[in-house]
Formats: sequence, C-alpha cells, structure tokens
Amino acid sequence: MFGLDTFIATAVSASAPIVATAVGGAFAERARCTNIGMEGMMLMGAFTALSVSVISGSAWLGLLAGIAVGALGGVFLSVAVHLLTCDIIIAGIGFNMMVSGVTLLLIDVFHGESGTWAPTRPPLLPRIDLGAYADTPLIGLFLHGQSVLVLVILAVVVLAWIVESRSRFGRHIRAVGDNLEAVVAAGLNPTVLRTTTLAISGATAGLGGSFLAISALGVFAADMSGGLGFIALAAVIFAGASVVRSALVAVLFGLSVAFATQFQSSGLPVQFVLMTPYVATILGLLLVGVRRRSSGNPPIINPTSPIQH
Amino acid sequence: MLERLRNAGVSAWAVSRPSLLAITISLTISFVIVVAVSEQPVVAFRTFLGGAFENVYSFGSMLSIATILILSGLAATVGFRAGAFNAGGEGQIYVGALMAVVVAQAAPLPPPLAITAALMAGMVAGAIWILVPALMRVYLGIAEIVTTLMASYIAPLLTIYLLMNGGLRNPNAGVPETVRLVPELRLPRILSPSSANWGLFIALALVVAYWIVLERTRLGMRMKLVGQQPSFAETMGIDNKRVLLVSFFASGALAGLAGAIVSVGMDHRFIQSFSPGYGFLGITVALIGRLSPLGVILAALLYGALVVGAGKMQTASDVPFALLFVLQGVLVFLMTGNLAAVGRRLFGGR
Repeated sequence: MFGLDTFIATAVSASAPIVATAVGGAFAERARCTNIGMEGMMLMGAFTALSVSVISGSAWLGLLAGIAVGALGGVFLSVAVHLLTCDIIIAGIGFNMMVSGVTLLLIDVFHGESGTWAPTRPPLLPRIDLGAYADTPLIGLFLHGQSVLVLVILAVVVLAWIVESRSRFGRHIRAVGDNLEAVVAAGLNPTVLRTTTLAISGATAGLGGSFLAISALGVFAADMSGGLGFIALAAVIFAGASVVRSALVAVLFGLSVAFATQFQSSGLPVQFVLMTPYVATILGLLLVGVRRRSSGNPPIINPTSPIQH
Repeated sequence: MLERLRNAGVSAWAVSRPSLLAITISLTISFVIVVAVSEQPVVAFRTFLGGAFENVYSFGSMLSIATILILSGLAATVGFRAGAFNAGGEGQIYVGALMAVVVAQAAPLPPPLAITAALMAGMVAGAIWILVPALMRVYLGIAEIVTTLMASYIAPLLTIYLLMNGGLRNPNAGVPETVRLVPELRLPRILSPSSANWGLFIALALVVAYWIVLERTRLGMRMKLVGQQPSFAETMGIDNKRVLLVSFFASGALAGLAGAIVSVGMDHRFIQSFSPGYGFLGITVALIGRLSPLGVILAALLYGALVVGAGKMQTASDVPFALLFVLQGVLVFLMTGNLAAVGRRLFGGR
C-alpha cells in the first residue's frame, strides 16, 4: 500500500527535473525566446552527465558536464535563430530531432547498444541522509533519501529568483522582452542578452536532464526526457514566465504524476498513469487560455511560417 | 499548357535551389559523421544513399515508406500553409492506424467498402486527435505546438491500452499487435513482395487534390492569405478562425490516413511502436518540399530512400540507423534558415 512518504518522494523526484528546466525556461521566455529545444537540451544533458560520470568516475563532474553541454545547446539554438535566421519554434523542433538522433548514434557507436545504455555500476550522485532527523516533519519527509540534486535544484530556484528580481541582468532581460528599442538605445546588445538567456535555459535543462540520468538509476534511454522539456515550457507559459511561479507550476505537474502513481495501486492501468503529465499539461494550458479569455484579452493568433524567403 | 510548364521549369530551379543546397550540405555533414564513426565509411555511405535502389524489393520498400511520408508531409504542409504547426502528426498516425484496423475488421461491408471505411475511420480518428489543440489555438490562443506534442505522447499509450485491454491483441504474437487483416481487407500490393501498395496512388491523388484546392479554389487562396498575412485576411473579411480550423482538421485527417495506410496497406495489422517517427519526418518532408505539392512528393521519395538506405547501412556496416535522425534535424535548420544571408555574413560580398 502507498503511504504519504512514498507519495511525497514520488512527487519530489517527478517534479525536480521539470522545476529545474522550467526555471531557466522562464528566463528565455521572458526575453521572448520560447525554448522548445529544452526537451533536446535535457536529453543531451542526461547523456553527457552519464557519459562523463562513467568516464571520469565522478558523478559531480558528470553533473557539471551535463549542465555545460545544455548551455552549449542553448547557444547553438541561438546561433540558428540569430545567424541562420531560423524561426525559433521550428529551430527548436529541429534541435530536438537532431539531439535525439545524435544520442542514439553515440550510444550505438560507443556502447553498441540500440535504444538503452545501462553501464555497469555507474557513479551516482549521493542521496541526502538526514540521519536522526529523517523523521522530522516536512523536511525529513521531503528530503530524506532524495538525491542531493534536489537541494541543488532548490538552490538554483532561489538563485534564479534573486537574479530575476534583484539584478541588473534581470532588468535587462525584462527589457529585451518588453521594449526592444529601449534596450538598443541603452547600448545593450539584444542578441547577446537573448543568447545568454538561451544558454541559461540550456544549462538548467541540462541540470534537469542530469537528474534523470545520474540521480537514481544511471541509465540512458532513447528519448528518456519523454516530453518533460515541453511540460516545463508549458509550466513557464502557465506561470507567465516568472521564475518562482514557473517552479511552483512545475511542482503541480510533478504532483499529478504522484497522484496517478498512487491510483495505480487501486487499479488505474499503467498507461493512464504514464499519460497523466501530458493530460495535466493540456488541461493546464486550457486553464491559461480560459483565464486569458475571461480577462478580456483576445487570443493572439501568431501564425508559424517556416519558409520565409 | 506547354508555356506554363516551361515557366514552371524556370521557377522550379529557383524554388528548389535552397532545398538542393540544404540537402547537399546535410549529406556532406552526414558523410563527415560516417567517416568519423565508421571503419568502412565508403561502404556505409554508399549503402545509405543507394540502398533503396539495390533491387526491386528495396525499391518497393522505399515507395511504401514514401507513401506514408507523402501523407504525413502533406499533413504538416496543410497546417503550415494556414499558419498552424501540427507537431503531433505522430500521435494522429497512431490513432489512425489502430482505428483503421478496428473498423476494417468490424465493418459488416463488402471488402472494398470496408477498406474505404477503414481509411475514412483513420482520417476521422486523426482529426479527432487534433480537435482539442485546434480549438485551444483558435478560440483561446494557446500555441498548438505544445498541445499537439502532448497529444502525441498520449496516443501511443492510449492505443497500447486499447490493444491490450480491448480484446484486440493477437494472443499468438510475441510483440503486442492485432491479428492480421484477412487478404481481402488489405490494399493491393505493387512490386510484391515488397510492402509498396495502392496507398501510393491514394497519396498521389491527395497531393493533386491539395494542389487544386490551394491554387484553384477560394479556400486555398484564403489558407495562403491567413497563413501569410492574417491581419490583412481579417480586413478582407475572411473568417480566419474557420480557415485555420479547416486546416487543422485536414492536417489531422491526413496524418490519420497515413496511419491507416500503414495498417491496411503496409503492415496489415497494428503493431506497438510501429512508427520510426513518420509524424516528425513529415515535418522535415514538408520543409524540404518547401510546402509545394510536387516538392512534398520529391522530398518524401528522397527521405523514403534514406530510410531504406539507413536500414541497410545498419546491417551492412557499423553505422547505426540513427544517422537518419541526425540528418533530419540538420535539414530542418538548413531548410528554414537563410543560407544566403549566412554566406554573405561569413564571407562578405553582396
């Protein structure tokens, strides 16, 4: 039978990668860089984190590499958008396809595996052991036995919130999103600012992907991000690109997974458990639309036009 | 008529030049990858490019895959034309494929009618699968990209649930799949024993139909206008919402039909995880074909050949099938980017 502790543990570990990814995604979205590529950045983060962990023997190095590669992915997407002048949405989709292919190719070439790479005894990040405090209400329930990455991700949320609300960089990002002319007039380079936000978004997506790969199992599977990057984007949209609210909405999506898992023991078929986050995401976006409509804002119809020249 | 053809020939070069450039660059990139990862790069790359043309069987396989890609490419194209990004073709293909098998088996109709009913059922299923994202986009302004993607994660899960729990599963098969359709309920084959089938003619007929609608009807004119200049279309008194909805449903229905033809024409059953990403490949095909009817056919043939070639390359050499997916992503960048502008920026000149 399922207890409260298992429920909370599931909720925390299901939320963590979405929260991490959503936090950076909020920066990019605020600068009007809708980052569809977060899905691929998570995936490359996961693959790199596991690979570097196995090669170096250190999961911490793996984590750093996963984050760095995610950031590089963000820069790559920015180059596609700013130099190649691709539409950011379509470039994001292309990016995801490419990463999905590259990771598949690499596990085949390096490990002779098609689809899943499960190294023997991979180094994993340590788990939080609260020892005598494991039974402390709240903190014990939420943290004991979780990967230390949960703490790292919490720290990232706080840091991102400070940057967003208290730093000059945070003001500049808001300006890029709201008033481009003013940014240019102030002598700032909007392309550099946008690239930075995409790199930040990539870095936190890499962090979220690393969580998938080196916190619990140490396995990489094809497309193991399973849409979490898109769900994180939905959380960002739901939250109006605010860091803290994005993180909270991401937790809601994680909670939906925990609820569904709980219902599995009372007979909910596993397929319905697995589809819960996707259904929750559609419902969440539906709520955004209804709210927007009832507040009198007309729906914006922005056509996506892929061929521009 | 001849005049028009000749004019078309001239503009065809101008239109196809970016595609050819993008294809050349991306094939070069994949050659570099092959050289980097392979012990026998020449064999691998030759098989990748030419594998589809080794014999009648592989040529037929290429045609059967191209059939699906024409339809999924057309699905993406119809959406793009009116400004709708259907990123969930993959999901619509799954529901269309299962629905077609169920209807073919259950419909108390003579075989030709049962096949027709199955194909229509696949279209309806695909259109239903895009219903929620379409309504959310048109009436609430929620970007369809995330919702169609979410729906495409749900579809394989739902179809596998129905397969396992709806009494559809073939108990004698190892992989979860339905029982095979009886021969009368299959689309006739061409180039037997390859899986090429009459679905190809259906797909080609639909491309022609799309061309007629786009170039010769008011609906087509409105689609283009809504896609390119939505506010101008609004001023012209065009009901943007209706045109957009029609495009969404046509897009979903075409992807659903692609799935139905996989079931009724290619596999003769529904198999769990049967699709190597036909829905996503459709997006690439639409972009390589630059949203033109003829372009979609050519791009689908090209990618069909590469899918067959990649499969053969995987067996014949040490380069995995996944090269195809890398290429797919690279092509999206190259097709939607402005290569000429990059060239000017990097190398100077005009």
